[in-house]
Amino acid sequence: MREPGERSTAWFWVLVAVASAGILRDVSVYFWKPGALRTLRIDDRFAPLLTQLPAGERLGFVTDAPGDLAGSHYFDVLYALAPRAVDPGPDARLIVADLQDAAALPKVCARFGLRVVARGGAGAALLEHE
Amino acid sequence: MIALLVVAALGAGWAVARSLGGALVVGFALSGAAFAAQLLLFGWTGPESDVLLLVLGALWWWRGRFAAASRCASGAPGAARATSPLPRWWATAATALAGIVVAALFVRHSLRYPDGGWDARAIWNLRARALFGAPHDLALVFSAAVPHGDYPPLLPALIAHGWFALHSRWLPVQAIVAAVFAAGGALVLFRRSREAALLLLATPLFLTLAWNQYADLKLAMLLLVALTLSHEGRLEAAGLAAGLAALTKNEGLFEALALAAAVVWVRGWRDLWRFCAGAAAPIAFLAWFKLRLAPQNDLAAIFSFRRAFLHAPLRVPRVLAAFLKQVVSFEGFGAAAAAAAVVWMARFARRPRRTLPIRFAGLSLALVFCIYVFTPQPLEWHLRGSVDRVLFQIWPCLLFATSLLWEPNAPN
Repeated sequence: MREPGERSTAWFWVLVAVASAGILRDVSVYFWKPGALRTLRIDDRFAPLLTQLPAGERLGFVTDAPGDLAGSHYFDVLYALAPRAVDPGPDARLIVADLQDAAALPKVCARFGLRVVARGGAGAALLEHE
Repeated sequence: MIALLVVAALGAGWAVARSLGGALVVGFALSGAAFAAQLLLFGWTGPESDVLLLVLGALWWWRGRFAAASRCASGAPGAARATSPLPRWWATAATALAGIVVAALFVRHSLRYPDGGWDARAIWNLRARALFGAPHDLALVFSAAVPHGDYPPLLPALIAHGWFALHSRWLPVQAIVAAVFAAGGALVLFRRSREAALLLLATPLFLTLAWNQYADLKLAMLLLVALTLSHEGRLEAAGLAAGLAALTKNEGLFEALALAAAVVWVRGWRDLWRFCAGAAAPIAFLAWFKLRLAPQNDLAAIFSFRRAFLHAPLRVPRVLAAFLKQVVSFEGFGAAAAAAAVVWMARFARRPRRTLPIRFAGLSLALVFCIYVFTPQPLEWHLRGSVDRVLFQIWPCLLFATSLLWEPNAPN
């Protein structure tokens, strides 16, 4: 029969082992793997467009991203430009582009008959119909 | 204005929960709920709700003192303190160390991604920005074109309240709200059981859902506070916390109902009415929101009883397999869920099972199981996208129940 003190020590080390597994996983995922600290603010990409946007006007949205990624870009635009209403597609007078590949902007403009009004950061631009 | 917000939230939270952790969780949830009510019902964006909270908090505190004096006079026992299988300072030191590491990682990752994770940007933070930018255009804020427009407004309103109080859309408010709920919930569990708090901190989803600013963590902590208050016999306060959980996310309503069922099962109908009295105000506001403002829920829109019951028997083994997979999911629960499962298997038969937390653990697990068995969405898609988060909503409560099983001095 083990003494209560021994049992407590065993409990403690089991608990420490279980907890360490989770904490070390966190340290690995959130400290080691991401590398040097660099802040990524979504607003930074869209800040140069904000001064060009008339209040209350519905905006369009285009992207070159495929599938689910297109949805991700769309919600980034909604988030950055909130509370403005943004509809997917190039039907509005002013259209916000959020591209995966910033170099694809001329191709996207040519495809929908658009021209650049203002450029944001990393693939973001405000477009209008030619 | 921001000082008034913080003082009102902490004051009202302390009056209701009477612990630092509970005050953080319930207080700031009350602040969000009261601000949502004043904005959506009256269109006000000022500090009126904070003043109201201060008054209501003072009344609740006075009522609590009166009730405590009555309990002392009648010789009724107070809330039982947890006992621990470990020397107290070992567990305290280990938990504090884990807390410091997790807090440092939270700060670092919140600096990296201050906007939060995908769902937070697309749902709660987006709605908070809309409420701040167009507080009087509710059709735009709760538009059906925006995903999950039917989600209850507590969290977006709390963030927007912070911005209104600061007169600026200061980005860190979102992360600070997440930190307040995470720290508050960990402190609530720490007060009850150091070991359970250590396992919560060592759960990778705890940190993930904190930095990515999802509402699941806030809901989980409100449920934990509701459960601990129910366990202590403070049913009105527990009902209020459960009602606030229902105002945080749609699943919160069902989990609050599961807690109500556990209350009536263990403590009887009289205590259920006390619980319901506490929950009445947030639930009434939720009903108003759902009937007047919220677009139709996407699951409710496509739900069919016939199809759900037809598919249910075939889904049971698949949902069971998905749940078991989560128990050993290292990226979700680390080694904590597996350890808790071992404790349940080893101790469940030898410990009292009629306690409220253990009954709630069973009911809430069954509820989450049923959500997936009857979901109108494609099962694999729905499981893949949410089962870890939905299970995390009840995870702190499961840890609380687990702490009752490993107490060495619990009566058999």
